[in-house]
Amino acid sequence: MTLRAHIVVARGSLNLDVWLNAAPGEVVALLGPNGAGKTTILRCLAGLLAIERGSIEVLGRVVDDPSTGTFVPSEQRSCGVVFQQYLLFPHMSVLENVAFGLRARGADKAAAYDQARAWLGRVGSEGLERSRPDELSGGQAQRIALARALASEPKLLLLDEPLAALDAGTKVDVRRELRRHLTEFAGSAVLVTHDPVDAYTLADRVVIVEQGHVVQDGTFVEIAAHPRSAYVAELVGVNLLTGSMMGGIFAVDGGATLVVAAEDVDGAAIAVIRPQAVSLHASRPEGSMRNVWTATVIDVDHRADRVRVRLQGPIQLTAEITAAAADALRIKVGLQLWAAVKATEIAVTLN
Amino acid sequence: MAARTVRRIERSLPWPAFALAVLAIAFFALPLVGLMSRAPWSDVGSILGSTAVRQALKLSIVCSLCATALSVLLGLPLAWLLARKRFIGRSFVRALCTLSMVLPPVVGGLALLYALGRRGVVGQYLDRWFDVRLPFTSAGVVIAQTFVAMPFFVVTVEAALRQADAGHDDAARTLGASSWYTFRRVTLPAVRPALVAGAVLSWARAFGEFGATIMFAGSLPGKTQTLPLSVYITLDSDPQQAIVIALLMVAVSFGVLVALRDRWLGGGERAT
Repeated sequence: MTLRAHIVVARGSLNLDVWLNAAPGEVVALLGPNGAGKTTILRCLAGLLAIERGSIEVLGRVVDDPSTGTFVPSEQRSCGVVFQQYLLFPHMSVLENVAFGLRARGADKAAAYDQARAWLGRVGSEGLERSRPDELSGGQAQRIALARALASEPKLLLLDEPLAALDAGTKVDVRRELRRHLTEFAGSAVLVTHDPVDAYTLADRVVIVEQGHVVQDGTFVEIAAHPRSAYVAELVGVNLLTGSMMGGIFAVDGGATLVVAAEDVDGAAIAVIRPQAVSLHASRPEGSMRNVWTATVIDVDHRADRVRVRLQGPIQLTAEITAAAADALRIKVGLQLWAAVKATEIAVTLN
Repeated sequence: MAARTVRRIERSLPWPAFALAVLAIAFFALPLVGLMSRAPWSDVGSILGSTAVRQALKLSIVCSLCATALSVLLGLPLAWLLARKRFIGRSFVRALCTLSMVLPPVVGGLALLYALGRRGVVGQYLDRWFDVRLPFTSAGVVIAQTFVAMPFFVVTVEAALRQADAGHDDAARTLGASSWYTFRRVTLPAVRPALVAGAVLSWARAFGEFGATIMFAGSLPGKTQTLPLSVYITLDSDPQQAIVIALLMVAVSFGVLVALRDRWLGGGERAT
């Protein structure tokens, strides 16, 4: 394990008590609502906040353990952090920002600048060496912040809402690049986000944090299939389908196609379909709906007045219907029925 | 290229406010006019050239610069402590360290005398063990000036440090920078305008210091008699000289303020 942590700390009204592990090369997403304690977890891991109980171990080395009085200060932890607001040093050029970590550790100027230039190249920001942070766009600042964190060769990379401050168009590009860098990064990474699409596309494993506690832990697909609470269902219980867009048709990886209302986007994409938007029918539905297919029920999950139905077929997804509707359809595992989704209920985001 | 017409929308000030503002300007300008109206213009050259004035000017400049240096050296760590560290009694310490801003300088001088004077709490040991006597020396002038001037530096820099994003310091630490490296390379540059502004303010305060100096260091020509003291002393014996020295002080202070104001004190472009 690169990271093994049990973090107990109180901050205001928040009582944080979480267990968190990460294997080498693994990207773990902390997903949860605002105020759940995600950023506090990152600050503890980075050594910017001391834990009150528990312990934090990075690559077998204990960096924080109140019971033995161990506390390794931030600057000796080798944790690279990409902060939500990026926090680039405003009085330094981009090159000086990226070289900062190397210079701080005593590298000589020329060597540090050479390495910093190489990192700028890797994040596709050549030519910005002399720019000041206040001259950068959001996407550029994000890339520089990532280069700055990676340049000091951290063992653990921590990213706090790395895409939250970006507009929708930039976000897609930056997310794609970020995924590439995370794949290349040898150490573990912990990523804080409240966007299920980010968690789905960037992370190997998702840890759901709610009010200071881990409520569920697993791959995105596992959690989406079996959300342990209504809250988790709401948060990650959306159907995410990878595929590609072409002329208003979304081709799901695996062969099936969906008609989508977005016609001006082309390329690799993710379709987001809320389970409530999937309707189930005993016979082929009449009407204008163009996304209709037959499916087999493989799992039924009753929760209060709602029923989540997992479907297998040309398109695998989960539908959420009322208990009354489930009764009327006599929903049970193995049942064959018709599923339908309106084109306007499918949101597409480029991947 | 055709000349561009820039249209400006002037926000009009209600005329009573405008009149009061003009009155305020007159209030500051009139005393200067008064001084200048009484100045012996034909003798200015010879008075300025006299040994007494040259001595006082040199002493004033050297002492006020020393006091500024001391204020920066001690005041910077103090401002950082007050701005960034939480400790019990912080507001008490802050009040204590800025008390001399509001204290009558004469009281400050008296207090210094009982602390660092020959029979003072600490002064008696300085005298007995190290043979150091501060009162009535040029070093005493520097001490008195620092005592009243340093708070101006501390208050200015502390405010800037509070405003500066401590997140940048955090970012530096996660990148492997020691606290000293972070302070030097990240914290200080972020508050540079305030450092300069604070230093200028405390220099101006030291340069014009009178009350604490005369109490603690006396008024020995060439040794502790700075320009403000010599204005006061010579007013009876040689009013002409007093006026010339007064104008000299106005010129020096005004010159420094005008030269630095646009760059550092928020007159022109402001670092955000």
